[in-house]
Amino acid sequence: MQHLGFDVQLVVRVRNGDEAALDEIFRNYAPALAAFVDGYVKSTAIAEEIVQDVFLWIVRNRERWTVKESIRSYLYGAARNRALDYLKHSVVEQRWAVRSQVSNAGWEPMGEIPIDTQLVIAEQISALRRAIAKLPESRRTTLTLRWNHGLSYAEIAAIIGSSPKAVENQLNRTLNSLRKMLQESF
Amino acid sequence: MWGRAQASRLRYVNDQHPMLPDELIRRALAERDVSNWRADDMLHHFAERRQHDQGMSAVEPQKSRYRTQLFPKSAKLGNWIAVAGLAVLLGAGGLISHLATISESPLNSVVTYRTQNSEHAEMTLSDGTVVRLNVDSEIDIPYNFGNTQNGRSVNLRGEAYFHVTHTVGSPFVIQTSTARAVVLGTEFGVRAYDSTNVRVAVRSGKVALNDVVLDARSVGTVNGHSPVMVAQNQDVDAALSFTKGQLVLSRTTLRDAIADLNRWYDVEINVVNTAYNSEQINVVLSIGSINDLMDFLRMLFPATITREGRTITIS
Repeated sequence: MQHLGFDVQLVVRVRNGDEAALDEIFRNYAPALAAFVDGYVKSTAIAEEIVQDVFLWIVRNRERWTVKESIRSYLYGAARNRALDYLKHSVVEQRWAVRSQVSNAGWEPMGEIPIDTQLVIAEQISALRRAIAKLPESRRTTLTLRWNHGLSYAEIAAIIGSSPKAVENQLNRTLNSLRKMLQESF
Repeated sequence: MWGRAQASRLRYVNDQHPMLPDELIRRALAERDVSNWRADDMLHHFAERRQHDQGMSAVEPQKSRYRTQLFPKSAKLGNWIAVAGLAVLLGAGGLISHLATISESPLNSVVTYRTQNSEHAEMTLSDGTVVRLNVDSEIDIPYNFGNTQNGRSVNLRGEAYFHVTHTVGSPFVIQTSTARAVVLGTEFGVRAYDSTNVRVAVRSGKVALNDVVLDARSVGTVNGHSPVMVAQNQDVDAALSFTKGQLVLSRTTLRDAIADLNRWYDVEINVVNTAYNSEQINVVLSIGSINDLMDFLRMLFPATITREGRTITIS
């Protein structure tokens, strides 16, 4: 999933002030980025605003905009920094707890599965969610970026300041511990 | 093959437990689905903000910038109702990271949505038709899609599922490199990875495939420019399983499964020991990590399975 050639062209166009190029990037990434930031700030409006700030920064500083791994990893990295910055300066922890209970993320119609099995699954998912919430932030981010957003190890490494190999190892350790937890609750 | 398969944590066809642990983890990780947030709407707001920003670029950024409610509350609520209604359908990990490219001339311009390997995407077209793109697929949607003169017509490469909204007097047309499907209002999947083999599976309603009418629960295939072959009373859900985030390989040989596995896991599988090519596979898989695929292959074949980057060798 490398579009480096594609990325380089886009970055050059943005640097030269080509608004269509920036709009194209925005269109491709903004919704997924907003969902990613929403996972931190638990507010749709704030998530959208943080994403817009990431892009406004690019508009203001376009001549010196540089992308190391890919545009995607740049955007996720910048969005994460801003989200963490926002969390540092606000009291959203309590909202976290309330919202994560009512959040219906991950719910899909389960069709023909019997209702009692669905309840068991629902319980397992919420137990897992609590476990994931307890993970250190960088582990949770790594997991989300890889499993929800499909970033490569190299892209994630660029975001959290690590090496691809270390990202892979960390991911496997985290997944193994979650899987072990799941198997115990079966 | 079956006995060994049952013991695994992967979900097998006859397994009672409905979901893989991996699938559970994935669901627990899921964010609120935003596939129905309109990138165009967000872009519009962004453009407004950018203009505003450029008009007052000399001014310091506002202090409480994240406190301002950028969108009116009522508009937000409307959005969320739409999201709640439609968004939950998305398959495993299905986030839209497609590339949308717009060709130049505004009247004839086309927006192309594309999924990469191991990506799914769902979109709702302006007429309410829901399209779910399978891995490594591409759909062209004309800028003037749904106009009364232009009707509803899209081009597809790869595989997609359509839930077409019925519109009086406006058939929905799907064009692949060799076949053309015309529908009124129905649910069905089109598979056209390969120009020599296009498959249409109809869940409900009727679809005309190169002018041959397919009823519900029928599967029509076109090989190259040959006439349409129709099979009735088929297990259509298996053919459309990708919409549930599942790859169903049923009575398939490894040789025939490799292209799908490569697309779903974004890998390249090389079979050195060709004896394995004709081994039968019966399995249901979800998009997962390469390691899951490696585990699955190791379980299936008493072979040496190695990987280098995204290349997997079975020897």
